[in-house]
Amino acid sequence: MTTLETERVCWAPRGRLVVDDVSLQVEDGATVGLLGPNGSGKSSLIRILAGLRPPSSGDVLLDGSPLAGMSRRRLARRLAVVEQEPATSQDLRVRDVVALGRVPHRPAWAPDSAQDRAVVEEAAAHAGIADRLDQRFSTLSGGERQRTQIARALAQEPEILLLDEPTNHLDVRHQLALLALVRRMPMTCLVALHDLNLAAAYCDQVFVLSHGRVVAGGAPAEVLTESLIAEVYGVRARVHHDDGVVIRFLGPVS
Amino acid sequence: MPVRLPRPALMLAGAPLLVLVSVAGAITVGPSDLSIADVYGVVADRAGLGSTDLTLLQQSIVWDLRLPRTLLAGICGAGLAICGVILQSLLRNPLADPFVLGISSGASTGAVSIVVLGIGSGAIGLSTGAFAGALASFGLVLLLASLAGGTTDRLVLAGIAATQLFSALTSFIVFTAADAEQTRGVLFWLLGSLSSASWTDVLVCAVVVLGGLVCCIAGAGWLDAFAFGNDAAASLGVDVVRIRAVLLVLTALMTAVIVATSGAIGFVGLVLPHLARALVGVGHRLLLPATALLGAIFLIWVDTAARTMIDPEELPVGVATALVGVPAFALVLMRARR
Repeated sequence: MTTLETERVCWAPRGRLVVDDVSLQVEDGATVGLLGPNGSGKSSLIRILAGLRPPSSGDVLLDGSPLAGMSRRRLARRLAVVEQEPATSQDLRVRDVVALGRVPHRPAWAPDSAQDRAVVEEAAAHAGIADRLDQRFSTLSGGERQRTQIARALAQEPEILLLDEPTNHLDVRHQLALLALVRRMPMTCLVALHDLNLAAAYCDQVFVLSHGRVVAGGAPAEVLTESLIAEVYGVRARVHHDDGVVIRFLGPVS
Repeated sequence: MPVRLPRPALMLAGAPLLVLVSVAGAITVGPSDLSIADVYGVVADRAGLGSTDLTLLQQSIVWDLRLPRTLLAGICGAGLAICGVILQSLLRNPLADPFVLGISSGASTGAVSIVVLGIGSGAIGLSTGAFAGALASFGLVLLLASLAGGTTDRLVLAGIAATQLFSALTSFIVFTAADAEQTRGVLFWLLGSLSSASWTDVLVCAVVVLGGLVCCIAGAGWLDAFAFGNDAAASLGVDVVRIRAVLLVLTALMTAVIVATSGAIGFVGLVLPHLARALVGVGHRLLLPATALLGAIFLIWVDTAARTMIDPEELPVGVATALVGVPAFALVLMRARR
């Protein structure tokens, strides 16, 4: 059992309140969606949950103990992040990228062990890029890059995986394939998403952010209502519940 | 893309031999007829393991002039190349190197201040001044670049600004405060030269560069982790603030000691890491020693060319590295275009 929760977390870089009093709890083993319009604080919240930005106030708790007191290395073995469109200036092979996930598992001077290599192969197979391992990262398509980063995160063997809009810039087929992959993973996954229909189809639990605050949380069918979509996104919508939740957008709120 | 040669580790094992051959071979080149056997004889004689039938003058040419100079060239080449790898990896910029970023210029200014103001002398005093100058200019470059947005081109532009500023300061100090003899020395600091190599220089540089190399290899996994930036490194368990600070200061220190003994030599740190990556890949555990060895071999031969090419005059080695380095720089620039 691993629990990730925030207790009244605020983040205000240079006095601008970006994350405002967020308290949430992520269910163990669930696929959890983080929703909200552009600039609502999703990416910031993910960085705070990953321990990459210390909150201005409040705490992030992993199994009840605050992240602030945990060593970076120990945290990296329990929690992995896939950032939005990570870029590198180096000419890495896919294998090099996936192998970065083993960095927190061995001393900085040590070579990779047979076990490290086995974990890398397995993670790549899981993410569906086993046949790409010797290719150059720079030659991959957007979907393959995301899968490579997910494989790297899996190689960290984390208990919790945070993904920041992993479906950005992917065509619809790749979006579905990627979220199906995330859903299949055994660990707890927190995914920032734009597409409400995808969130409804693939998440067990969603939180909706607006102006840095959590305005709703729970099962998608209960949270994603016509009135919430109108209020948070300023969009009129019809929500159908016949075969899972399907949302049809009608236009901006007049 | 470059062809990946088989067994990079095996190549790495053969490279020290190549360095040894380079040292011995480079010493024989020049206006005194010497063979590798002669060089070995002198070294064996000094080590008490044999004797030599060379004249005292020839012995002195080998032991007092060419051997320290060649060793210093190798050590400086290795050190500058390592600095290039660290800067390129940490700053995620394929064009980063101590010369381009103005660290060498800052170190020159620091060392010249020590000479002209007469505060101290010798390898240690000069190195201390150079270290202060290197830190000052590095700090300025990182500050300017971050104020300007921190992108790849901003960093290089900030480096150009710092290079100009500190070169001007060096010239200014020399022309206002120094005598005629010291004024001639300004070329040494601005262009780089290994002609004054002494055994003390060799020792000081060897300690700092070898120490730096060992520290960096010990942190190879952390350097790998910076490939996707600071946040990505942090999420892989790297204490980014501390590791960055330690490695950047280490780079400044190595640059400072090298500049204090041989002036500002450009392009070694810029070009050699790219060659090494093409040979052994991007993992720092192999990349760092490979770059060091390549840098050593490169500077040994470039310096040999520099001191013999326009006999009896001597070309400053920085001029020679620039002549080789600028075309290579252009290649890197074109490859960096995305």
